[in-house]
Amino acid sequence: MQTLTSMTPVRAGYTKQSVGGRTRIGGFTALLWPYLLIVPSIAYLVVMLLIPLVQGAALSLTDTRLINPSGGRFVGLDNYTRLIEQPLFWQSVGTTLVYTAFTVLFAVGIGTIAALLLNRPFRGRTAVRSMMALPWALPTVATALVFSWMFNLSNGVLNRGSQALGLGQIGWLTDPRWGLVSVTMASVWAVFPLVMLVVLAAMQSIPEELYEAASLDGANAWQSFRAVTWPHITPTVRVVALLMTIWSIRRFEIIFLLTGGGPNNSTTTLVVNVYREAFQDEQLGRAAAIGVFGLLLSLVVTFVYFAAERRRTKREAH
Amino acid sequence: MRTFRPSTALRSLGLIAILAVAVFPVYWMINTALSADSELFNTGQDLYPHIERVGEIPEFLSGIPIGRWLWNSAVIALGTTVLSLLIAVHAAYALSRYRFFGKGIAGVLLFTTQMMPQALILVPLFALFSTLGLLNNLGGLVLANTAFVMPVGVFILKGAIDGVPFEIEEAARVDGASRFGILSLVVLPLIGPSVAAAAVICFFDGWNEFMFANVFIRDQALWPASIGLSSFIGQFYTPINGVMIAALAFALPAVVFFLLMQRRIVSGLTAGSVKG
Amino acid sequence: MRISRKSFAVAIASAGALALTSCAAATPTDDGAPVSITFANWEFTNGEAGERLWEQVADYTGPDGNVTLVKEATAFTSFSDKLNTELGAGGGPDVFLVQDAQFNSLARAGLLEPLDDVYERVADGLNASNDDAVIDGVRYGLNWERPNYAMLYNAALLEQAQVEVPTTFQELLQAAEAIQSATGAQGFAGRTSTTELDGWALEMGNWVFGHGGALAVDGEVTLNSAENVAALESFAELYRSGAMTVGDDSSTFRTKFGQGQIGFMFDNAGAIVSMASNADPSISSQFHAAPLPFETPTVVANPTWIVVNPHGKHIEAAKDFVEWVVNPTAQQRISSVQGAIRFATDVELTDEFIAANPWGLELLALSDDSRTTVVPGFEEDTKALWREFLTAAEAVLVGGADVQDALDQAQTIVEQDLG
Repeated sequence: MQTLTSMTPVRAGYTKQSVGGRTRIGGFTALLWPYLLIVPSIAYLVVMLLIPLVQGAALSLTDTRLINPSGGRFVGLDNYTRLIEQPLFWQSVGTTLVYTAFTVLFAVGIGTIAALLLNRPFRGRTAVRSMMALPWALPTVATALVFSWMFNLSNGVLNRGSQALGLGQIGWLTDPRWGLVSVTMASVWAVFPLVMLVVLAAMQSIPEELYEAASLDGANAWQSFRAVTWPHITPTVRVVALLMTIWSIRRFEIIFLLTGGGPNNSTTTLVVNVYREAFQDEQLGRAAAIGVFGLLLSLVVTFVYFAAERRRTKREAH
Repeated sequence: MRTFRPSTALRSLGLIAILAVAVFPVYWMINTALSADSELFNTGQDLYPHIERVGEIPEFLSGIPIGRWLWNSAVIALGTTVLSLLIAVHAAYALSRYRFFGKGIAGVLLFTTQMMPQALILVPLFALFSTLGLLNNLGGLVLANTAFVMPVGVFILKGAIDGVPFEIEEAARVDGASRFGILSLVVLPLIGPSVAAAAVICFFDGWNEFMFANVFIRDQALWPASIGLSSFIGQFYTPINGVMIAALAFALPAVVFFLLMQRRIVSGLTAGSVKG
Repeated sequence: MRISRKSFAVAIASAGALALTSCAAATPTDDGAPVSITFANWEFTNGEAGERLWEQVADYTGPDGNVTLVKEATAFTSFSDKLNTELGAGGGPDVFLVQDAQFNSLARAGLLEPLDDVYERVADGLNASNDDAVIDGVRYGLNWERPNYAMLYNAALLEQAQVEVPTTFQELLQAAEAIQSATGAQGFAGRTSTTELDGWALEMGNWVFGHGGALAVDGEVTLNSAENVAALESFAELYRSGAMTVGDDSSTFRTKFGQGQIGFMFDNAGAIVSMASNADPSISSQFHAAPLPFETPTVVANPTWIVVNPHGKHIEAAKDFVEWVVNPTAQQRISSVQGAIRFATDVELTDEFIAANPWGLELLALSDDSRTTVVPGFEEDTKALWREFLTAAEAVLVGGADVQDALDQAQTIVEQDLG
């Protein structure tokens, strides 16, 4: 019978082996092993993403146009100073932050609740779970098409419903006050099943004995959630929230297909802005500058996360 | 067993609410697919689908090379999944179990590459692939997709491996298992559900991908489903009902894949770990 | 390790020989070796019509019978992005179509092959629709098709509301309102959102030109000129009258037009062909075209040029194909699929086409006084300029901004961006 202590998960950052120190597995291979494991992934990323990124960063210092990628002149930090002075750029930063915050909040919230509701077996659970995964299985283009149609001002089902309720028509995709709301709705819909999936997997690894022990102690549903479920899924929820954040910053297709960045630039996030500069204005240099800004944003998010993680593991190690 | 009545009722209500929200747009797709133009734009779309028109669907589908499109999507999606998982599981293990020089940088790199907008990478990557002769073939797309989705796999798997007690590996080591054997025969089965979840993520990423496929593929015969669907958006006019039929056809295999994988996701920890 | 002089010389010589032979291989069609050239056109993805269009050109074999044409079909929405990416990387199809704005950027970037020699050979048969392809004295393309805009209307609805075809803006406003109240159908339909930037720029161009305005005059950007303000104010008046569709995307209102649910719209020949083919014959027989109800009769044209890629491997073969496209037989075949649009040569419409589509001749008649939305003096910035103009329009329509203020703001932004 496994004891509770042996089932305690190893916390992130807590390693059991240090390379180069005294380990049970000896020798040269011990030194090399982690590098062998990680080299394929790192090499892959360096070639496919890092090098183009460096090229992009170099581009941001030129005035290159899209159709003449080798013909740009060096302009130093001109693109950056121009960006800082451009109100639309700061608007796109703000829009990105708002969009990301709300998308992540609702997706993680609804996804976790869904996972919780599905954690207990009941008849037809498999079917329900499959149906709940539908939004995520749908290709982005299809999602954009059906939501455009549902958001359609005169013929869409949402407005027909709101008219029937006497609320009048809402310009889901045409009113600057609603543009971001609609885009967030569609994004949350498309993405929450992933959260549900990942959190459910984490919940499934909680041994039943813990729940039995808790109920023997007299805990009700809420208390056993707080004592048993929540601590076990927190690491997963944190990781998935971070993932959702990074993805939201990067998400392009659904926003662009629904609104093209409008109405009135109200849904122009950083990546939409990059696309506009690159493919509509044909200004590769300026687009690259926006891309670099966005990268810095993600670096900030990353460092904040890692710093918080380190502080947490330090706290728990005591 | 808990017998809180309110809790059960609340639970059912919550399930129904979320299920309704998740399913309604798909239901609406089916409804729209079976509506005629006059209903959609003139008299008003009916709330219930015209099931009697289902017979028209095979005829519509036979007019487009949907089989080929789905096949191409499947190749890309499966290729992305296999390649990404292969690379990711090794990196995840290294990041979870070892402390080594450059570990922090590796972690940061994996993260920040997730942030890069595809639009920025598109032109340099196109030039690179052009030189390497990777354009206009599905393998090139697999390589491009893997770059974006593999770090996700690393994070999911790392989190899972973190949750496997090291004592299990120590026990196997004492039993004389090789390092690689530990990874594949001991650790991997224990994180099965997370591997399945990562597999689904990779698959869907490859299935949905549009921007790279659009630019890298030239032959119509190599179009994946995402491109095929977008080709319905005509220069002047988009046949909404036809588009919905095609969209449903594209969603179906992805859903089937998920159904196949979900049993693994919920199988949970299997027996046979540390005794005593 | 030292390389002997002799082996060095041999190496140079063989390298030279290799280079020479590869040069020889690049000379197309002379030696009769099979050559294949790619032809990229988004229209091939237009369902059945696209298939038929391909059939009209697929059997081309070149003057020496050794050329195969390879179809490259990309969906319209992604066509220009993909093309720009391919050309930017030094690749791309051998022959392709481009719409006007992209044509201008590519030509000025040196990414199009000059076609003056082709033009010399066929100049006799060609009409004036080819003239806009000359940039800085060099001709870079021939006219594939030049659809122009017109005021399209549904004669049955006009009759029901008892209104005449309007010839001034006020008449249009009244007619649209009359149709709305008499029949319940919408009076006027048009794009109102920057989600469909390119299409809206084309539609708005009609309003701007019709009021005598332009986005730039004599090398200066004039977004906030008095004529442009007047144009936008007319548009806003129609928008607020309630007789115009609000928030419908072009696919929606075109389908509605095909359902007989719209009275008027400013649209082009390509659109009406697809609307008519999808509509009930009893409805489509009521479609007509008329000049725009504005003081200046100029309408917008959206020419599509057929061009050659200077980095292609078979430039001569590509040029031969372009030359073939404008010969009378090919022109007849292409027009049989594409309908009432101005082509490079003057093609007669068949009697049966005219009978089935009364708008055909009416539309073509307007083609001679048409201009593109490319901004003279700022050709490469056309898209950006129109985007600022339409963003201002959106602010007026949806945000209730004052027209002059919105356009002044747009003017400032543009001057900053271009400065």
